[in-house]
Amino acid sequence: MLDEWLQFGTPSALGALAALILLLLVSLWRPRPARVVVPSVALWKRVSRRSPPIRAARRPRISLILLLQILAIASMVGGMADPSVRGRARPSRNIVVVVDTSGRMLAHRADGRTRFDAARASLAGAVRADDRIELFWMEETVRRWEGSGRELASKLDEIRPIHARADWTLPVDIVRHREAEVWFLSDRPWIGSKPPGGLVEFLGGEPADNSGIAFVSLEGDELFVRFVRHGAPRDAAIVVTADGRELLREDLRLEPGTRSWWRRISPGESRSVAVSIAPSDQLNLDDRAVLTRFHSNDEVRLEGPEHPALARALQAVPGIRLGRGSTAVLYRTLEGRGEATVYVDPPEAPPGFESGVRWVPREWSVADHVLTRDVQRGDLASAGAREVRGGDPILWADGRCVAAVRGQTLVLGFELSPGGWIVTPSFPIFWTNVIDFVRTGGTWRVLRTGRPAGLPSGVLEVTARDSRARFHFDAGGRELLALTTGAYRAKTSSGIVELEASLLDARESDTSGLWSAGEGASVTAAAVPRRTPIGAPVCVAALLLALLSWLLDPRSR
Amino acid sequence: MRIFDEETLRRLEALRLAVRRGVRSRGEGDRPTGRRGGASDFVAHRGYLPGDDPRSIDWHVYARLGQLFVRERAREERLTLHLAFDASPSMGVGEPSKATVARRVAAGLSVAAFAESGRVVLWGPSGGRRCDLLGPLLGALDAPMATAPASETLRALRMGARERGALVFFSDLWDEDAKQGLLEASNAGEAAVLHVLAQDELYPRPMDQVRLVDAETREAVERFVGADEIAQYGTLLSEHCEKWKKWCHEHGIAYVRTSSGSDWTEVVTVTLREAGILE
Repeated sequence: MLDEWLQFGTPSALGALAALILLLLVSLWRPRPARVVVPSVALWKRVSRRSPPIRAARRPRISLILLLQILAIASMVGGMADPSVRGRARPSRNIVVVVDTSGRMLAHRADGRTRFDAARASLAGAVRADDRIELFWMEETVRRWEGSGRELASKLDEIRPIHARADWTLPVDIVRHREAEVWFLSDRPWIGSKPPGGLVEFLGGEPADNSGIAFVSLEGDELFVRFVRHGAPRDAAIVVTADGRELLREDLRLEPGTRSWWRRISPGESRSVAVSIAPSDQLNLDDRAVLTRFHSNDEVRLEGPEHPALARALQAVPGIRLGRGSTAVLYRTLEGRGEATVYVDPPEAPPGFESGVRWVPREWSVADHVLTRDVQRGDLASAGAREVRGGDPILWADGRCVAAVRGQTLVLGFELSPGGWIVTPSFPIFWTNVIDFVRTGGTWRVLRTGRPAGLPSGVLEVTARDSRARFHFDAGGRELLALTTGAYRAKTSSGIVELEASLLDARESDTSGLWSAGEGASVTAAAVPRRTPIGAPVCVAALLLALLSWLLDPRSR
Repeated sequence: MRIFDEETLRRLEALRLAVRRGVRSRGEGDRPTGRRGGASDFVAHRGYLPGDDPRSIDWHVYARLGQLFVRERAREERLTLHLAFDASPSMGVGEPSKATVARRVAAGLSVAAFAESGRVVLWGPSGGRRCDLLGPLLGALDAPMATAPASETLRALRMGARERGALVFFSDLWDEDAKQGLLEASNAGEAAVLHVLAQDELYPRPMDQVRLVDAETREAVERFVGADEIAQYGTLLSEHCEKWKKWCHEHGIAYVRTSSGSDWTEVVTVTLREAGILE
């Protein structure tokens, strides 16, 4: 791989090799005969004198010691000449790998592998052992790992997709300005702006063929389910069970798109109701949703002018009782986090907030906040808005904050114009977020993966079969962020409550994806000159040779 | 100088000096002589002569015969062993040096002498030192000796010896002048020469061109010491030794040659016995 040769930084120093001539001359010089004291020279005087034999003439006598001395001097001179090994080598690449760990990556392909495994396998062939890898993936937050290409495969083996929608916009933002090449493992194309170092996609997607449950609620005895279907129409069986007992089975033809379905059921005193699609398909995470019964203690009171769209949106949230009041309080909860107040386009700013001038907003933007989760920016519209100052901003219009939250007080500084935001899907989603934000109780509740859920204040402990869940206390009780679907067990003061997390995310149910095996990876990067100094080891070798020569020389003893 | 172990000492004490001629000494010892008048073993009766010690008159014989007879007893004289050392610089050559070997052999001979109540006199160029016990003798052997030609030691012996006795001369015999001194020192006495040569002296190693320096005269000769030269030197050395051996034989002096590489106990217990110096 390397085309190497030896070069010297200061070749003039090699002139010191002339010292070898001196060494050879010294080796030719024969000193005076050795002086040997004998008891008497009387007999030696009678021994005939003769000239030394020819073989002992003053010719250079090659000996091991002389050879070592020559090598020592040559090495020392070479070491002083700043030697280096030069060559051309492909540089190790700096690669940023972004792994999409969405639950959708667990959808099975026609070949039996998951999309995650397929994308990972196609990446493995493009990695070189000497690559420097910076790896990003999402769990409950952005995870980062740094290592070599040699270690990447084992690290990818440790990463498992979560059973939720992974919001990888944050890692995309992180790597956007990286000069390194970005390798993206997903089943969909990159959504952000292209990174400067180039983008290589390893996509394990396939055309969509999936049916899923996107929403489920149970109010009284009315079970409401919203199905999504991606791909060709499909016949499926809808199975409803209560505490494992089958209540209902119905064959249903699922057409592409969204379909709502409701039935009256009799769950009785059951603790949980599950809705399933059978048989399973490409992605089985969304084929089942489970509702758990909690005691209902929430009450919402609407005050001020009547607003039918708002009332409908709130009524769609399970466990909410609507009432009417006489003040500007929109709703309040009686348990959980405590009393919360939402002001919609109030004439005066409530305590802790300030209001600005009124104008007609045009360009909207959405803050990353639990209240705006799944709210689409394009859905936002209003005939008039006021700037809201104070608290944490959650919505902007034309660069000015128009909605903010402080503690348990939320202020929306814009009016709910007819035909605007209120007719978009983001509207009920937003109010569901609001209810989830402030309450902990409810009747039939569903636990969604990837979304923090306030648990009843009586919950003492939550355990999960899979440890990929996060729990924390706050003032109102315990909050659970489940990253994987499946069973969780909540220990309360009155006993054990079995919970089950469901996917319930229409975007994850959309399994339309692409296949790409990383075309364009810089596997043939141009070779660059490389220089490796070797002066120090050469000098050390010279010293060792000199030491060895001295040890072997009998005169040194 | 601790050179004896118990076993070696026992072996040495079992030896006796083989003195062929009578030796005269002032003191009495364990060594029987031909001379009469001592106080030891009865030999014969003879008629009383004026001047005889009245204590030697055998009164029992007088009572029976009525004539005076005196009892004659054999005189057991004390052996004196003169050990003379060549103190020339050439004796310092060898590993161990020839002088060292000579002193060790001398110590062994001294043990044999002390075993029969003899006395030992050590001779160097500065004179002699008489020792009756082994301890002082070993100390004297350890003492440094002045450097001088071999003939100087023999001259000091000839001038200073008050008692006749056996003489053993340790030398490498490179001093031809020692012959006359040896003859005079051994006059009418038992004498032996221990010719000590160094190992390198007997068997020189090939040395290419070397400058050979005489340890005594500092005279230097330059020679190439190869296999041929070593063979030639060996022949000359043999002739040199034979010449000394022949000279010693002609003058009734025992001659023993040894090298500094030899085990000195073997020299004492084997070589000297084979040469008839010890028995």
